[in-house]
Amino acid sequence: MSKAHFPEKPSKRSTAERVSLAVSAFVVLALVALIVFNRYNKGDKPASISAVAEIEQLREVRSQFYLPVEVTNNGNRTAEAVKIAGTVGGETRDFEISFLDGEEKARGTLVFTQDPRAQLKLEVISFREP
Amino acid sequence: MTKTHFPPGWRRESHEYLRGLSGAFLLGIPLLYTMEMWWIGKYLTIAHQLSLLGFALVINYALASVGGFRRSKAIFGSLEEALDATAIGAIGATVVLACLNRISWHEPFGSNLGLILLQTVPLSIGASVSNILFARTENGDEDENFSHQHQRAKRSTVWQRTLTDVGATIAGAVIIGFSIAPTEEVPMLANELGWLHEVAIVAITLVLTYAIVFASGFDPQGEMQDHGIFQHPISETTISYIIALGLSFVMLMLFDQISLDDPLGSIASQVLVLGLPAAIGGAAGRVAI
Repeated sequence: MSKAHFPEKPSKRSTAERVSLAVSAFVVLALVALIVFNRYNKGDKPASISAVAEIEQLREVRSQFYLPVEVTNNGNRTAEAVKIAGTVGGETRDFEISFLDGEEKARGTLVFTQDPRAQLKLEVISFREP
Repeated sequence: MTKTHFPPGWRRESHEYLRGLSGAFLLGIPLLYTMEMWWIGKYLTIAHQLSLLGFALVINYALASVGGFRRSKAIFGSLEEALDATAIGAIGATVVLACLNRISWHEPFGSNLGLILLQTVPLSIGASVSNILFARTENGDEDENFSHQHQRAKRSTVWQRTLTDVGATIAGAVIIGFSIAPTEEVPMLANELGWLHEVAIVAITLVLTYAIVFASGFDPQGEMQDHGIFQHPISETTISYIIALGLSFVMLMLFDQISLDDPLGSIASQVLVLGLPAAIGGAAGRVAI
């Protein structure tokens, strides 16, 4: 429907219109400021991934050992398809995290049939740069 | 619609913003439920982010010239409306993404910002085409569409009007919900919700559907109060939401997303997640009749 069907607004702006325009302009300017702030605050380091086993939260259920792993992207750029693998006595388990933004942390869980406290080897296998 | 005690200028302004917000969600809700949008938002560069904001402003300026969400234009009206629409998109995206647990304090700031900016574009476009999406009416008497609907409303009985509204709710909810129900996004979102998010989703769904039907000025019948149980704004909003939730359950069952053997909490979360777009579709359906 065209706007011509509606009564014309008085040409002078009301207080409500002035306030709402000021709020809208503030929101848009704030977005620009946040983008620029984030760029200079964040940096531009390439992704670098670390994985730490949370041994204290290990739990055993029906002879299976559930080991939570915290994965951190210590860089600033996003990593995609981050693969983490853990090996305990020849038994290798892995999981993948779809996206890990710069400085973001995520958790996954590896499930072993042997107690991983004895000889766990945790590795970051690969990731893609989107 | 309950008449507020605000001065006319403020009431008109709040109605126009609610109209913009309603259009934003009618058009933008499917993209809020698209996982690629969540992922792309995570790795946008500063150039991409600024380009998105610039694109939103330019496209909203163009759309404001032919549609917009305000009833008439002042000097520089299209420019102002483009700013307003972009702000509505940004605020709407922030609120709903927070309710859906897509952004939070635990996520990196840049990731949240990218996600909000990306969703601002479709939502602001929705705000800018509000007047095109639905025929607008104000105080009805001079509006042909209003007169037609008013006459029709007067002729029909309470039960006929109730049945029409129920049918329109079902049609709208199914049209929007059916395209989202089979996607992976529904269980993904549901699995990551806490109880606070679920409460927030219920609240935002009720507020948005109320706004679309009764506060945005889209629906000429939204002004009329004496149409029986279903037609009272609060009861209509609540009953329509229950219908949308029921349909969400059915659609999720049809697409094998849930089964009766699943934990009740998991079923409830998925139904609530799909209930938001379905209820918005239902509200759109009631406005469209």
